[in-house]
Amino acid sequence: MSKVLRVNMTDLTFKWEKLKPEQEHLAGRAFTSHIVSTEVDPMCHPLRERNKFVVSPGLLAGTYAPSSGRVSVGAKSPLTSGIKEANAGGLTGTRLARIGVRGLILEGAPPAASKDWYTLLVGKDKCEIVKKNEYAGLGTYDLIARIWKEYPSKPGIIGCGLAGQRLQKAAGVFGNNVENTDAGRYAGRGGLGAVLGSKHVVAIVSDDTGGAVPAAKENDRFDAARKTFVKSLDAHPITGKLKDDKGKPFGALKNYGTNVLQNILNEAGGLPTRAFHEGRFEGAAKISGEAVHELVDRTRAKHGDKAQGTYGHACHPGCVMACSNAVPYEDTGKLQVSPLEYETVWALGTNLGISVLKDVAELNRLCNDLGVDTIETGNTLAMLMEAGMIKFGDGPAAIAALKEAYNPKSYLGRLVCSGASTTGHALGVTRIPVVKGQSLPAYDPRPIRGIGVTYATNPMGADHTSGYTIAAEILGIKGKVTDPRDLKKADLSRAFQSTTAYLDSSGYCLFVAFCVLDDDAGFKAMTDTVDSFLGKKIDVTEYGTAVLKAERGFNQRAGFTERDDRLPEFFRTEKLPPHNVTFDVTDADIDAVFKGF
Amino acid sequence: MAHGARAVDDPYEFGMTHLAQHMHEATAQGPPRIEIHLYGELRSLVPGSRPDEDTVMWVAHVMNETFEQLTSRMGLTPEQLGDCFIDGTLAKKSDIVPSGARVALFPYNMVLLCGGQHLKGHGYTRGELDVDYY
Repeated sequence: MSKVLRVNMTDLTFKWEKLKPEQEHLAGRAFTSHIVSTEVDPMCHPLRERNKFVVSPGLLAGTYAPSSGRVSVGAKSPLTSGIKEANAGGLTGTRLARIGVRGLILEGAPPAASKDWYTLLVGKDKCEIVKKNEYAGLGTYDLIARIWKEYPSKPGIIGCGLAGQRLQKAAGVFGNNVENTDAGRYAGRGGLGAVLGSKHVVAIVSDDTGGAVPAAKENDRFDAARKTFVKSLDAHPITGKLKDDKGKPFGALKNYGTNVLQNILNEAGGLPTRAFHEGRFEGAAKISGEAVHELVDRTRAKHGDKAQGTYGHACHPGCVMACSNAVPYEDTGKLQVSPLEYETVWALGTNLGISVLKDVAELNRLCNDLGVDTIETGNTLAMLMEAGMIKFGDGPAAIAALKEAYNPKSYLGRLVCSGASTTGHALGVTRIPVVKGQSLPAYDPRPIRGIGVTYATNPMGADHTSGYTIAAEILGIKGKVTDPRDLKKADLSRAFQSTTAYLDSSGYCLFVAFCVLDDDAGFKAMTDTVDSFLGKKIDVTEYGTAVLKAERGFNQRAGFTERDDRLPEFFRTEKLPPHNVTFDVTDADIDAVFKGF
Repeated sequence: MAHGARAVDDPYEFGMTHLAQHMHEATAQGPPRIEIHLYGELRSLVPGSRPDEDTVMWVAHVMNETFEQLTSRMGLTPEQLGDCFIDGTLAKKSDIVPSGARVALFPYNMVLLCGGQHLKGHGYTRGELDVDYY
């Protein structure tokens, strides 16, 4: 039986609650957004006691459904001042689900003068709020290592790093990976690490000792569906096995990770380069997924068993797609960072004009250690470059700037963890790529306009995962969306946003979509797992639309209007080479996405 | 010539026997060519190529040649190809490849990732299906 753990950080108490009837089918993003939209005052300060930090495993987390172990976190965002959900892999989704925790709600906050820091230990039918001042101020690599040493049950960990503890807007929520070698499983976006920091919680440690795999209401149907789904995922050239029968690389995600996109977006002319000045990067190949694959092979040949680099790495237990990787130092073969994925390589590489793979990986490692979102931080560093404080392409200077963040008295260090909007404005930059205060990710909206509509309209600020129209636009679904430069994008964006909200609630990784897209049996299997788990038929679009309505409603009560659903001016006035186009979707077409919501 | 690059001005080198005429357009800079960027296992068409460098091949331009004919001339079958581009736009089989074009060829297992659209209707990569909500 699933339940909710409610923790009050003002008086350091907790209580267990039963799920309300209207919450039975809610999990992941649907649950976090339900709680935030119904319990948090939209006008509250996001970093004070009236905000709430909500954690929820996806609906199928902890089960044997493939690639379904995502965990969502949600709150009012200090970056956007609107509602926020971010999700990630790691261990926590599985651990919480197996001890029956559908949601964890952190509310209140210690008195402002408090210097104490806490860790939550959540186990089967138990919770401890433990004062752990010695955890505060550590880099996350040290922090997760200490926690596993103290708690040998190999628990899941999520938490906030230095940036979150300092209430900085670029702070993400880290999670330990399956091996506990890296805290790189980030629910990175929206500054939610700072909300956790405002509660004086460094880490939430989840131990599933004594727990059990969640049972489906219709177990036979669920079992059959998940097995069909695994077959479908394994057979697909994107999500499938590592090598084919001849020993050649097969599944794109296992071999090249999400960073297979680096070269593809580059060729499509939609790869934002040097702070959105160009659509192609001459150094893309050097930092691509293929380059990482080759580096791993090279270090394996050189260092043998000591080599720690890998590809085809699962981000959470039961992920069969395994798009994660571990990037090694070339000279030692030891782990530099895990994972190094597309959005990060773009933000800290392409977007900064940096084509040295080791420098990009080092920037990623620093972000992980400090507890900041790589997309937001990459865009923030780009503001320093746009302002002329660092040259585009200067990796060592970018690394030095980010290292300033370890010094609590460094103004530059504070700035680089404050997000692109704050930093851009502070430095007099007029080309700041944000929507609702959140930085744009790795697809330029000028040649790929549907994603621009998603950036503009989704409740989370500029976010590609909220309605990922890229493939549909560039590859061309038959009919109206075959041309990515076509301007009528409202229906496309709304449909994607709704269905993505469903996926974000299911626990499934977004990338299952690629397989089920091509395989009717896989598609049916995926929805069958959800329906049989709940014992009721779920309408995908209705479910996702309800989530979006709750989120849009919160934002409206927080003062957002259609005027907030706009891209920055320079996307409308500056043409992006090589296609030399601007973003010229009309305001009316943008507003059509949620007209009547 | 840079490492990882290859120029082939003879269109017959790739077995273009079905195209009787290779209609080079003479220019002051030499015969017009097509710049082909290769990825994944297709890089093997250029000996000595590396996955962390650009792999570029220049081939002679043939007037009115379609994308399908070009890839056939290179000895490639449709099953070997994933997402491909002509000057940054997704290549369709019937597209004419213009002189001086930048063509990008990705193998079958390198395509754009996506999420969500399957829930709105198939027909995206499966051309034989006639279901489309857009």
